[in-house]
Amino acid sequence: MWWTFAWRNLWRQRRRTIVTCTAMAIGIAMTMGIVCFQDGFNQEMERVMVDQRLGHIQINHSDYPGRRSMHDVLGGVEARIAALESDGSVADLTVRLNGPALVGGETKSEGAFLVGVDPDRENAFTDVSSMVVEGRYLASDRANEVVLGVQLAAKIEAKVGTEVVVVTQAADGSMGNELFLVVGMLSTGDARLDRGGGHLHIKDMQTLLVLDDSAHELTLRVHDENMLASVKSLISANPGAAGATVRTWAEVDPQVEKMLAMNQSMNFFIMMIVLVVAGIVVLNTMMMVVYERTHELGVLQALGMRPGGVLKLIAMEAMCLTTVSVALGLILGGLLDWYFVSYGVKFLDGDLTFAGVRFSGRMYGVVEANMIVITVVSAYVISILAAGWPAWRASRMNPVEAMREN
Amino acid sequence: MILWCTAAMFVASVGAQEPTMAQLLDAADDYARGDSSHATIEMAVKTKRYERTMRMESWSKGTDASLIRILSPAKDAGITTLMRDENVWNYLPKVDRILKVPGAMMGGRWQGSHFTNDDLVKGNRLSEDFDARFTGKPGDGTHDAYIIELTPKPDAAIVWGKLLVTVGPDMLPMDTKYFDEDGTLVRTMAFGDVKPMAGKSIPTTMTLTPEGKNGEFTRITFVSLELDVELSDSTFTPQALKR
Repeated sequence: MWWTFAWRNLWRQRRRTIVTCTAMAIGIAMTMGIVCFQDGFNQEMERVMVDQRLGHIQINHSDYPGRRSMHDVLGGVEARIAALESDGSVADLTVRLNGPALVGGETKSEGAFLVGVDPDRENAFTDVSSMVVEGRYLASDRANEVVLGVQLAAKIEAKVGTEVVVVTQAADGSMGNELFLVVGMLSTGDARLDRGGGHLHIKDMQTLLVLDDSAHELTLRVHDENMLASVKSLISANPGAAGATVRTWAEVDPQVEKMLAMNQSMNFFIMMIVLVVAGIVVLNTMMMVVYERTHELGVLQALGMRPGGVLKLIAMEAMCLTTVSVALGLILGGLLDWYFVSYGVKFLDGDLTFAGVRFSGRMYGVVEANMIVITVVSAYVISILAAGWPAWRASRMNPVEAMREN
Repeated sequence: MILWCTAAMFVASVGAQEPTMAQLLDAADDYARGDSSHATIEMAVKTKRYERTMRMESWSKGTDASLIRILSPAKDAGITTLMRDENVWNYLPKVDRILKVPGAMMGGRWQGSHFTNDDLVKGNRLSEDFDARFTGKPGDGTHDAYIIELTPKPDAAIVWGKLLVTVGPDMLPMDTKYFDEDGTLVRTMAFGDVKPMAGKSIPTTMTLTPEGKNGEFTRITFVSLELDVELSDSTFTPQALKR
């Protein structure tokens, strides 16, 4: 009976109710759209920053993360790779041996930071060959090939096909020096790599540094990335990680984790702004309801309705209003989400390489059910809060004075 | 040029009277250098990670040009370093290339030793790059050698805060202590094993010991030394490195 009453009251001011519901529905739909888009963006960030760049788990010599000394290597790396690849929790991995070097072209030379990689593994892991802007990436087997950052190559006047000499201070104190054929140029957006870095085959790097069967870094992707803590302890127990430090991506790069967490809280912040604005519209409507029906509410009280009843009636009207808005909002927001998920938003023609990773130029949305639930619940909470004050005022009116109003 | 920074004019100048500051610094600079020199040296390096011994042949002319060729071990044989003015080039026979060491890498180790590339070419002339004062003299009651404190001249490209050079009464360098800008001792170069060579008595070993690196050192030993040999200027050009 009460609900029917409230429902009918709502449609006595049809146009205002429609405007209010529309405003609120647009608020809800916008929130859903923004959240959907943000979540998509976050997921893409996580995909490229974590899945491609950091990996889920990194294994290093225990002193390497702090000191980054060439000497702090993981030995017996072939055996380690075999052990890790036979581990059921590991999806794939890449292996790197890093070192400073002097890279010399025909006439000019520059200091560089070179990374020895297993080309096939590295490419499967980071899709690095998509960042080769000229020439090609390294061949699968060692062939004294190098790919250089574009700016480094320009500095030493090297082109694809140029033979460069790479000189290193090897681990045994000798001077490693070999000729390498430049087979490609990398443009990764990672300034350090583009301006002063390059990749070569890990076997070649091991020879240059006199560090056979060694690596500085084993980077893994696991199957169950949501259970990283338990996967980490599993991998720590693997012989492939014996005597080494095992870290999750968040431990390797706390900044990325912070950035992702910040994006997440941005979601809530935006949601609150939109919904609070919608709440003010509801507040305005409910205040108008009470104001223009002062007389009527006075009559109702004079006929025996208790103040609590008035409160209940107004609150119920607000609930009806919200329910209609939410229903409408879910339809509009659903359409928006569907569009973002299916078609995405195009930022750029092609892809964006940035900070050593490759973002797609088109971002797609992601729908997370819990975020929709939070949006709807927040909408209800805000409109009940917004209706609270007018409803309370209405219930406190003196019926005699109220009936004098028109 | 600390390698050579340390050699030869003094023979004539050892006289009865007290040597001047300039004479002492030149003595420390030039005892194994002369107008030109040709030497065979051995360099032993011990670090936490490795130990190696290399044999090399060197030539120098004046204070700003020298050349060092590695004779052994076989892996490094033929690698030649040219130092001219403030520049360092390496010739790498395996790849048949000459590479100039870029500025950013001048602080790097030379041939795995405790000497940096900068050491090879900077601070050639103590009397030019530093202001000097005596902090001790033989017979002053507490010292039996000349102790000279050197502070870099404002415009000198010297990384050290202070040097303490000790020269014996026989005008032979004994040691040089290197301090950073905070006044902390960073490394010590000690000269020892005085023997007749190139017609006079000179310290034939130079041992560089970095501070706080347990047991690490680089020691250079003169196997043979000739002074004032005929050397053409063209020996000390990058183009000549391959020869």
